[in-house]
Amino acid sequence: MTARIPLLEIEGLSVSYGKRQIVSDLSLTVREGDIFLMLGHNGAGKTTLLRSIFGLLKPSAGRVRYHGADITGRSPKDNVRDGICFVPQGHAVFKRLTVHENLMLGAFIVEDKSILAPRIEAINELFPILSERRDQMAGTMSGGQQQMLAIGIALMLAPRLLILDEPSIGLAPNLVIAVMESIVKIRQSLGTTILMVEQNVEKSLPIATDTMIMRTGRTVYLGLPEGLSDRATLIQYL
Amino acid sequence: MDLILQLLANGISNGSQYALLGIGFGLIFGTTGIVHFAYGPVFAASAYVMWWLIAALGLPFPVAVVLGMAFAAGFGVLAYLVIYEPLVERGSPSFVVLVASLGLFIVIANTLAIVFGTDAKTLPDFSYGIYFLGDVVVTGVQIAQVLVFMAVALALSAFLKYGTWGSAIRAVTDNVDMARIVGIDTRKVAIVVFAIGSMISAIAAANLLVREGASTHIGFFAVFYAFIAVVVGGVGSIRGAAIGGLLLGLVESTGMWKLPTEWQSTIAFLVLFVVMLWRPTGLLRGN
Ligand SMILES: Nc1ncnc2c1ncn2[C@@H]1O[C@H](COP(=O)(O)OP(=O)(O)OP(=O)(O)O)[C@@H](O)[C@H]1O
Ligand SMILES: [Mg+2]
Repeated sequence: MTARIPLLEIEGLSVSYGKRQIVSDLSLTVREGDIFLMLGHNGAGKTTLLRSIFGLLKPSAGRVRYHGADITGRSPKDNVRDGICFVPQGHAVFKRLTVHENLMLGAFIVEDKSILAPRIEAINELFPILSERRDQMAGTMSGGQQQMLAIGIALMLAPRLLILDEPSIGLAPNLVIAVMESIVKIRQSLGTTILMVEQNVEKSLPIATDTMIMRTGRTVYLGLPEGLSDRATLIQYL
Repeated sequence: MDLILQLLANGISNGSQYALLGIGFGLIFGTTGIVHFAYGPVFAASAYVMWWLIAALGLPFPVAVVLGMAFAAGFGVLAYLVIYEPLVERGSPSFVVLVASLGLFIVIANTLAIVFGTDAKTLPDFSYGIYFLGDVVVTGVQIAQVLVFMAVALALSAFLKYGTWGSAIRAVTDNVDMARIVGIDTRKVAIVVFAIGSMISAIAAANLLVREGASTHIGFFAVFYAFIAVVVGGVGSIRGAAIGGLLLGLVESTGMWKLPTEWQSTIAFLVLFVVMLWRPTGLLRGN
């Protein structure tokens, strides 16, 4: 399953807001086929790290490599064209547009829209509610439904690397499981590599192939999820 | 009864002009979040340019309007690239952008006064008909204002609904962060929106040029009414700006029934005040 070829390499990345350094000299490698799980406190800098990888923030030092090519600070538009998709934290949808329009915007960069019907169908299969609510305004759906749509938007491009920031946030327990299952499915069916931040350790750890724990912008644990399987170790890091 | 109908007709006609101005201003404001006060002087500048093209160069009116629109588009885009974008890029707070836009307003307005003088510029021998609808009297310009507004509103709606650029604009209006994330070039969208919004203001300027000519204060009133139309109707939709503008025109013209004309802009403020108290996000965004 795991080809173990590095897909995303972060080397000594630092990110600051003004004078405050949020991410400090951080390194990690996500390999092709991984479900790389990133854990950490509120405010540890996880979102900041993901956003700087995707090009929404400019790092102050360090490198981001994708497929061996330096993509540090490259614009989201170019990253999307290169098969990287990002699902930001917290129901990131176009609230005043319909579900269908949201999905179509996920494929904004695709010129030939006629190839998209099968993709939409696959997404609808993953999240049937999205086809039921096709013409509903996204902002009028429940938080959990919006989260599914947010993931659906990213799947419209069948990305090679999918970066997810707390996909299970605000979801009911059974939906958390459904989302985790869908992530496993996405990886299986599309061969997508996943880099994911999560708070729900219990539900996300079982699907992870690699784990990292962050505290105040630094790595405090990097290794296999099995290393975190007992509670005491986990508590020590989190 | 006849008087009321007459006031209604005047209100719809003036309201159409406010709505047209509001659509252009609102497109820029809703998409980029920039309160482009210099929209007024850009509008005024295009009125002067069209006047000059017709009066000095003797170009036919339609040609002058097309050139005036192109001029406005270029001017608007330049304002964005030279003034607003550097500030926004630097993460300046929105009040800084607002002050910059007021500064730009003053610079353009003064330049216009220096170049064209302070006397009103009217079109030579431009005639339009007068029509009777029952007992209601309307001029050709009044009818044109309504038709032009409807045509522009429909065209813009279709553009936003069906075009690739349209969907990019709607995405940015809804959620800029997400728009970037799905790969939309938000800078290009801002440029397109400044171009289209300014072109719409030039169309409104053509209306005004025919009706009463270009003069010093037209820029101020244009952006004043555009702003109120947008805020009253609700930021971020054409329909909002259109409804806000029409309402403004109607309230104003019925107000003129009992009040002297000096109160005209006060009425506009009153509409703004009352609507904001009742629905702080504008008529179309009650939630
Ligand atoms: N736009 C910003 N400007 C200034 N500081 C910010 C900004 N965004 C985040 N921060 C700060 O950076 C730190 C890390 O925030 P970040 O959102 O990356 O944390 P996180 O690990 O994702 O937390 P959570 O689990 O709550 O999502 C926080 O202390 C936060 O206050
Ligand atoms: Mg976060």
